[in-house]
Amino acid sequence: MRYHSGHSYWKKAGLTALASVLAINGVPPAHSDVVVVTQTLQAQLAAVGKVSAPASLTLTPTGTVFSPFAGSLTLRYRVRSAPSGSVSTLTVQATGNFSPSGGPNISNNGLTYTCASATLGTPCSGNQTMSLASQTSVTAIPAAACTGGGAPCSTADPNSVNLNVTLDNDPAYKAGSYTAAITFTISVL
Amino acid sequence: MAPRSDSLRGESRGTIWLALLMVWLAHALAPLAHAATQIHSVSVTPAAITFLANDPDLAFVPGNVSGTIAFRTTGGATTRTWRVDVQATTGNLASCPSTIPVSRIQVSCVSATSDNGGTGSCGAPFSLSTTPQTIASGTEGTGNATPYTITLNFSFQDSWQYIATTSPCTVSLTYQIVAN
Repeated sequence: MRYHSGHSYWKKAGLTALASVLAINGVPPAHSDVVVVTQTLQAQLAAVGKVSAPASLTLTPTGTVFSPFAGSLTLRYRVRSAPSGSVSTLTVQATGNFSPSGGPNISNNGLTYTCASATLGTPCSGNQTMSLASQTSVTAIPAAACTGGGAPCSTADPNSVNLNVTLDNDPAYKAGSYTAAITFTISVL
Repeated sequence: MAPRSDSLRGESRGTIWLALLMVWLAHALAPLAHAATQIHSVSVTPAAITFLANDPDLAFVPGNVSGTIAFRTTGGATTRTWRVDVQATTGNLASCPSTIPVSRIQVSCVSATSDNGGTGSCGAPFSLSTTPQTIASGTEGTGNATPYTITLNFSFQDSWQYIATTSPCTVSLTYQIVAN
């Protein structure tokens, strides 16, 4: 004869509950699978420079009759050069003589300039004669140069250098207005 | 009173055996009911991605190619999730004449796909760092060899404040693929 007492009922219920709890919570957790792989990123930073100049510069008489014509301009530039190697340069070249004819002639070495206040690199020293045949120096830029933000780069951004340009005034020139083209080139290594 | 006591003891033993059987079954069947997903056939291409930074005025220099992470899972379930994290192994690019933090590299997920009922979605673009960040995630596909493919674009924020390089600056990325 089966005999069901309250004590037995609760014991059975307790064990069943325990088993259920173990069955639910005792399931071993599934482990995450983790795989690690690698890849490389690389950056190649080219040596580069950019320069900008005013669209035009007007040379005006500096004083009395037949005194030279003069004018100033500011070149702005940015540079990043390689950590070692040759010096980079900012240069100028006359790419066309004064026109119309009858006026100043660059071939006669009458167009000169001086450089000052370069915020990066070394400005040209003394009087430089502009040439139709070759580039002449405005600023020499060292290796490992960069623009802006302070050391190891320049503080200034952009960099700048001033050019004071002078044109001889010769009585042989016919009166009139004359224009010549000059080209600034930045070459960064 | 003796028959009643024996009956109780027998019933208790039976209940205990039943409970133990249930616990054993739970453990024995657990691997079948909740087997761990296995990741395999992992590939990351290409091995190296290059930024050709020729103009610091460009806001961002894209990598020369997109990156692709591909892998497969077996034993996946649509109730479980996967994700791919990425982190840089160093805080700055190595072999650079300038200090370039890895945060100058932007990571952007283009697409994340799965199959066999799995899903994939891209996370928002982020700047690279040395802490893991999630590129893409989703729910697992079922069955064997379920494919997943994630396509990434990288871009580099150049600057005039970086000295030019004579050899490439590099940084290693670590991808962590997790299937729960």
